[in-house]
Amino acid sequence: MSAERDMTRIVRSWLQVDEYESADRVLDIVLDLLDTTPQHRSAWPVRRFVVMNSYAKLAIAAVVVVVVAIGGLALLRPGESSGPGGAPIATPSPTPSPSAAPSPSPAASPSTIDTTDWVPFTSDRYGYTISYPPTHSGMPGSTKSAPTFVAQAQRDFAFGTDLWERSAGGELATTPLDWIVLGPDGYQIGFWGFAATVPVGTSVDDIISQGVGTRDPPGAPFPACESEPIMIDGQPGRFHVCGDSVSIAVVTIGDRAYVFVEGRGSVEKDLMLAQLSTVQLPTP
Amino acid sequence: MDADLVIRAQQGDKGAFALIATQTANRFLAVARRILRDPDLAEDATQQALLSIWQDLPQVRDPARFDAWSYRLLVHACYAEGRRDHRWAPNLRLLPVDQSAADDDLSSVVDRDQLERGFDRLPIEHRAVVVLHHYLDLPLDRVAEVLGIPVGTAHSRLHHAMRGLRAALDADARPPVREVAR
Repeated sequence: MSAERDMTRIVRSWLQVDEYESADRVLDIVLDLLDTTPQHRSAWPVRRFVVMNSYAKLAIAAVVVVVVAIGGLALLRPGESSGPGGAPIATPSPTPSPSAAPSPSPAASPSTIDTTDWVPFTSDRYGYTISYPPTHSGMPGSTKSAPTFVAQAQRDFAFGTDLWERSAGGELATTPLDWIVLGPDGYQIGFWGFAATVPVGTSVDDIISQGVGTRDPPGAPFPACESEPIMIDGQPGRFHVCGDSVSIAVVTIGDRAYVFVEGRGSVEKDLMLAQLSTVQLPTP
Repeated sequence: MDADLVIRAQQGDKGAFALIATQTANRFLAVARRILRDPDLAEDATQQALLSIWQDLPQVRDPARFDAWSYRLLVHACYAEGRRDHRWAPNLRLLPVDQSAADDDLSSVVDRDQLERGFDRLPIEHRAVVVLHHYLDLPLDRVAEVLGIPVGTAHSRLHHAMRGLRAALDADARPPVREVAR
């Protein structure tokens, strides 16, 4: 009996060990989602907000790295950017690099999904328009979005705390993401997008090479990525699919890079291509 | 939980729910972290549980039973997270930087490591009973109510869990090797 009491004491003591356990991040997300999370919907099964595997989370972290890299590129060329989040101040280059754009063909196969009844979402922050299925809904960008989904352990594991904290701390501000959420099949974050100012002439391959596809975390079986050219609103871009974890499309116009990400990779490739086919980019 | 808050939240009062969530979230996260032993999964489970509370709150007939009901949602969210396929996970343990072994009742850090390993080997249903009973201090009849299981099953799960943890401590008599968190 004494040994049993000792064991109980040991276990209780072990469970009570204090760790940093603030739920502020989770709380912020939940409260942000109340407006788009209805009560009393018998036909609406209770779902979790984010159903993404670890690859997808890593990929999001990679996208954040892309953002940071874009910010870094912009900072290295301070005369050509207006800072994060705001409207760009374009500085036309008299001699844009001929390597800035990828080869326009062969492009990704056009989607066969009918998008005629899809709902347009126009990003107030970035100016692009994209349509999504009526089973989804759109959310404007939030500065909370990017840091929310990358756990500390994954940040440390994949990309290093220093890089992230410089980003989260404001030295290189994190770019807010627009969301298309509330997907119909058990996951709710389906798509997100953003834009950032880059030095004129920065190619989509340059942008992708800063993040997704070339930052396989050491020791992690990050899926192989396949890349193909794509036309987005008449502009040549790059479509990048990493297994069933993530797909990312990048297109640049002048000093502006537009990045669209979908969280299930090859599983939702057709849906992603259909969404990309509806993109309308702002006039530079 | 304040029954008035629960009733207001049931009626769609987001402010009331925000208060409930604020009062609940940290404790939920702490419980989830102890059941899942993974901070990332614990955040996901906490988030899922809070959203589920908001969505399903109108179906709660007795606001006085909110606490038990909400913990049940949390535990079920933990089950769902615990059963996900984790193809990789960083082997990372965050130990309090300024905590020495003398700060607690454990005889050494190796005890903690052995407990963690032993706990990780337990079925998640057993871990839930241990956490609800030994961390939240819920009596076993309340644990059974939260989990929706017979009281005898709660007793049995706790017995097997504690036996497994005892075995983990007894089985490893190697010298302590401290794994330092990165």
